[in-house]
Amino acid sequence: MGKILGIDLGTTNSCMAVIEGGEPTVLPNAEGSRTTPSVVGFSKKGEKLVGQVAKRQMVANPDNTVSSIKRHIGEGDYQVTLNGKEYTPQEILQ
Amino acid sequence: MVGKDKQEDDNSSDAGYSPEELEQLVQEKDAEIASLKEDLLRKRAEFDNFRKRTRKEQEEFRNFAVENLMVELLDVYDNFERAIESAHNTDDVNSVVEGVEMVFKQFVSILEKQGLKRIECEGEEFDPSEHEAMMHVEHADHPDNTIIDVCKPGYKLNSRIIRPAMVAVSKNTSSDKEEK
Repeated sequence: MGKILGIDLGTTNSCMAVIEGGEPTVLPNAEGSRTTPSVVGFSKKGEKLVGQVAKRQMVANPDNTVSSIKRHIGEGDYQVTLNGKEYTPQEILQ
Repeated sequence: MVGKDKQEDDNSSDAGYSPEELEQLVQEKDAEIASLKEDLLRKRAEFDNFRKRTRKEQEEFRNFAVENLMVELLDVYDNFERAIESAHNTDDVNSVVEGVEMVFKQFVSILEKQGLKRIECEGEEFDPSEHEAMMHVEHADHPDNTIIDVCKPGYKLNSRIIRPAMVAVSKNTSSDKEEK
């Protein structure tokens, strides 16, 4: 049986865990922290940024950074523009 | 073992077992199941113990991981104490400053020995993997997306960013337009 990955997708932070020997264990991210800011974006060079890194550029590159997108899931006509392309909240999550 | 089972299966379909033989076969299988079950229980308990022990070890490790660093920092502690004491007993400001500078140097060298490295970034292009934008300032003299001021230096510990540099980033709308 494959492992089940639980994802808590929060408005500001997200967290992932797997069941290990009957108990949930939180998976730390690449930077070593147990939660990851729910922020994504593109850098000015066009690289995809996720989490803490995306959050750090928010002030310098607000047009290409998205946060708290969870709030807008299900709003039919809500769209954000990143790198000149329009995204719905659901597309952002993917 | 698989081969043997298969053979037995073949036998049963070919020749058939007598009821006594079947009875015995069931008993053998029951015994095997019981022993496997016990094995499983034992392994599970073993794993539980292992997990508990690992957790305890980890906790211990966490509590004493800073021990080596602390021991080295105690020298700095002593020197600061001495510096403060002698500062009270002298009017020579220069010698006090000199002493404090020496302790500071020692402090920095200890941190560097542990793998701490300062991120030098003034004038470089903003990179969110190392820098955190605190301010976005309109600036005609600097190219767009350049660090013009470091509010708080960032540090790396053994190549992992433990604190990103807090910086002000230039916003140059004229160069932005040129690019486009």
